[in-house]
Amino acid sequence: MASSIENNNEKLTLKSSDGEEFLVEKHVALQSTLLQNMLDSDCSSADVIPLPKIDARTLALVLGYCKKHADASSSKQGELNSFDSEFLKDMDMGALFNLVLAANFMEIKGLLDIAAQKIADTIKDKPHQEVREIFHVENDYTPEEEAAVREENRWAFEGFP
Amino acid sequence: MKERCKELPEELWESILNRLPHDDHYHDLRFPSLVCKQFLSITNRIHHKFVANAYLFDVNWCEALCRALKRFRELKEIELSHLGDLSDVNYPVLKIAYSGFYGSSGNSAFPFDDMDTSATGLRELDIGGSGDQERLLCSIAKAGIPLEKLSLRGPLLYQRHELTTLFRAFPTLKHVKVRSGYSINGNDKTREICRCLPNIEYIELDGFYSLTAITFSVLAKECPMLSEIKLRNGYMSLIEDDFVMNLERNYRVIYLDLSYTSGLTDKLLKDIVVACPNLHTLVVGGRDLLTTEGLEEILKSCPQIKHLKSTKYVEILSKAFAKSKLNLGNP
Repeated sequence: MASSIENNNEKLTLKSSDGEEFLVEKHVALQSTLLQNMLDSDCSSADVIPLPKIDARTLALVLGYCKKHADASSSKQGELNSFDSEFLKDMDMGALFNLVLAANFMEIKGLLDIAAQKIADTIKDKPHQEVREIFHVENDYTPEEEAAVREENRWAFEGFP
Repeated sequence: MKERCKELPEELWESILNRLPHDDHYHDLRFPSLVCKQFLSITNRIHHKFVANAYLFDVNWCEALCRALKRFRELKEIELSHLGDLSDVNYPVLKIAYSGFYGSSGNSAFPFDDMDTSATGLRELDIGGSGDQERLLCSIAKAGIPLEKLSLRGPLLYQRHELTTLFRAFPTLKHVKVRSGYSINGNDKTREICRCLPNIEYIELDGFYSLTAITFSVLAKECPMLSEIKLRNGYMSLIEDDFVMNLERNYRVIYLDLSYTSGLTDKLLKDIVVACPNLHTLVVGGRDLLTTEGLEEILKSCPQIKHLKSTKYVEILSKAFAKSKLNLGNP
């Protein structure tokens, strides 16, 4: 039976929520603090490490990010920044949400930072009706409550340049 | 359609909304707060820093400043920037203090007028710059704020009212830093000041030309919690009989900085160091009268000192203490 860590070539097997398995080099997996802690505490003796909160499509993206960052030397920061920008460039909001959740679960700070920033950039300067559409958020204010918040905003921000 | 808002936990939404540009945070948080109740709650919570510039100190906008302070109750920091003429900021700064804000005044002068009731949230005060400092200090003392940290610096001339008046108003002070322009005259005055500071843990007196060895002695004796003393850029005169008479052992003092203090002799330093059996860091150098031989003898006879920081003696002493555990370095 194969171990999740192949001793010879230092690889791990990760399994997505929809059952797909990914063979990952250890140095790539170490980009994730969660996996690093599992390896350090020897909790990874199972054949396969299940990641029940992450689907295959998202896990593939996450591992692509980890591989690029694990393989790049520190002298290539500019190249990594370009990669990060391209990596998220045409990603839809659903994929971004999944990526944020996966990065948070696997504790990959760099990925969490860029994905959360991308979402923030998307709503910057957008009126609240548009933000609701982007996030598929239902307006849970009553008309009276919304008017009260508007009023509070008005008095809180009135006079600011 | 699935509500994406519910897909992310609250802390991730907080992380996302906190990444909206801070230079225009007011505008950027206005719209998310109208999206839904969860966003309103998060935007109110994450607003930690408030940047108030000269525009907001204009009379017409001051009320807006106050309303924003009421709205964002989690503020940790207020930055006062580009204030220009300090005589114009009394009213808004007073409003900030009245709002119950807990934090530091930043690096600007902080003139209060008639503060006597509700500025109880303030714990740290850093006063510098120019202006009517005397009136400022009187009004702060009158307000009775439970300050824990106080820093007075710059060309502060406090002639008619003594430091004791100020310190007596703040018995909660743990950390005091006073730089230049003040004077402590006489042992009784020093003792009086020390008795106003029963909880003091750190004191830094920089540029006091009236310091004597007695100042150190009284500080060490009268302030039971004091562990770090910095008496820098002063003149340490010695009245030997009084000093020997008053010097008692202090087991709390662990850090002593006497750098750039004129008049500091080998004998005086030795007496001071011997009186502090738990002293682990000593900072000397500059204008003192110490000799390398004298300092070497002091360090050899006082093994409790683990760190010597000096601009002047480190290179010479490094050979003598090459095999010891003494850590030599620059201040």
